[in-house]
Amino acid sequence: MNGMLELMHSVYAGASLALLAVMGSTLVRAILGPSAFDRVLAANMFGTKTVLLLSLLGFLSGRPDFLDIALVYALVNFLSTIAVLRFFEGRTQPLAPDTIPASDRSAHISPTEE
Amino acid sequence: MELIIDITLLTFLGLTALAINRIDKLFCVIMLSGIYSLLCASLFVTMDAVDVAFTEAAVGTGIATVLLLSTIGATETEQRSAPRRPLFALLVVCATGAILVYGTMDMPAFGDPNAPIHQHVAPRYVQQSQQEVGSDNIVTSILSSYRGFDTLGETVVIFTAGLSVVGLIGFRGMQKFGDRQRAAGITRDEMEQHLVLRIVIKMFIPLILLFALYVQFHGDFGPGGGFQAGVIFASGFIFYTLMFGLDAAMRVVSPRTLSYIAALGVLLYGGVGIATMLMGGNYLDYDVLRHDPLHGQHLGIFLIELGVGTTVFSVMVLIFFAFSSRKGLRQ
Amino acid sequence: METFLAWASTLCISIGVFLGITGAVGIFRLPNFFTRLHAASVTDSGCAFLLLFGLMLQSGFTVPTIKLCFILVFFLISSPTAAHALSKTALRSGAQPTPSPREDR
Repeated sequence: MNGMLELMHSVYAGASLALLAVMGSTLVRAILGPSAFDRVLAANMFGTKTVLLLSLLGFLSGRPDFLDIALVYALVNFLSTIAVLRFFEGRTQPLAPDTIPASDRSAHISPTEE
Repeated sequence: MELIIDITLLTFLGLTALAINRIDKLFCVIMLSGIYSLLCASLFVTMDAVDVAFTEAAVGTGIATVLLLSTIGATETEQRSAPRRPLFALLVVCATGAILVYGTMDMPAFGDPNAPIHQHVAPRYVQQSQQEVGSDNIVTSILSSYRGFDTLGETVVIFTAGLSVVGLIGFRGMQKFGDRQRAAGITRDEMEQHLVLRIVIKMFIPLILLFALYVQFHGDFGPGGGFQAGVIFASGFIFYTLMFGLDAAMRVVSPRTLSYIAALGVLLYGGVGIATMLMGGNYLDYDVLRHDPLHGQHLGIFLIELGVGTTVFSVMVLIFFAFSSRKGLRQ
Repeated sequence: METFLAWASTLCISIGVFLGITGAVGIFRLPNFFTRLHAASVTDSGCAFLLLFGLMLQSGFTVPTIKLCFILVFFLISSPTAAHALSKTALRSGAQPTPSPREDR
């Protein structure tokens, strides 16, 4: 019985470390990402990984209160992603040329098309 | 184990702060500041400060990102570069920082149980909050009961912020709804293009509002309370505004109604204090509200959390409406 | 029963972590926005689902299980919606779904 608890504890710890590595990779993409959409994607993914990390930390430290916070994080992450996308939709000026890298830009859709 | 998590999160925080500093495109800075806020909230969670993490996540990632996006929608999206390199300012900042760091070397160690901050009122709060106030969440009992004046001040500060934004920026969308709703709102075509998003968000909004009510009334037992609940409730309204347009949202709840609700929240909080004075106790002394001090505390905390929640909700939505009705964003 | 639950949730969490690392490598190395979107949604659906399910197996029939269930259902509905909205906005703003020729090696 105690062995099972030890096992689960180490599983939670290992999963937390792996999630931290995932978050690191996402952060690099958020800083580097050549286009604006890469950064929005990275921010969204960072939010969902934070939710998972918090749930794991809650189980690691034995406090189920953290799940309320995890739910709120999921919510505000979704809210900020949708807000960013509505911001893109609502712009009357065209996007700056370096927001989308030339390799991603399509030939027959111009950036000002709405 | 906690050490590794703390060090990793702090490293991420430093990297994000560096990136925020170096990047010129304000849009990317806003995304990174949302990530920064999530990292701060995770650090608060590892330090066991759950209520603070709650508030940081709700405000920093949700509301602040939305408001900053509205702002750069109305202004520019590139940061203007400085005309010359401010070396003297850098020197002053570094010297001040060095003096501050030198000053902190005299402080007690982080978490030291013999530090003066843990010696005077903190043991009394921890040991006697259950008998005197009766709530399981000591943070709520400190915020609402032991330090009720401070929370009243915070609520008035939030109300003042809403007042200032309304006074400085005002609203442009409150005039005729009839002929403007075709021109300035979201047209039928656009709504159909976002069918998936519209249906999903329509499904979520009641659940979000219900969750906000859960957080409001659950503040006695778990993390939560008036402030966080008000922010989540406002997030539901912001979702609606993002999908259905500002005019539709202003028809659901007009800025005038929101102003009244904000004032009502502060009035409720202050009114509880006046009621306790009329009943014979001091200002905001909840013991005299009911026949029994513990029931009085429960009633007092319930009422003031309601006041805080309503003020925070209405001020957040007011500020969002004010920012969104700027000319840059009206199509 | 305890042992079975422990091993089942260990398996779920391990596979979830593997999918998460796959997605992380993908978002770092893939060349195009839409390919990175796919990598990110691997983590949002597979990793999140398996991790939360593994945690649910460990916490029995208590209130935290219901909260985990809420988080899971929220992810299942909101992650695909966010990915859909993101790809739609990117497409209409001019990003191209096929990689440019220089990445075809």
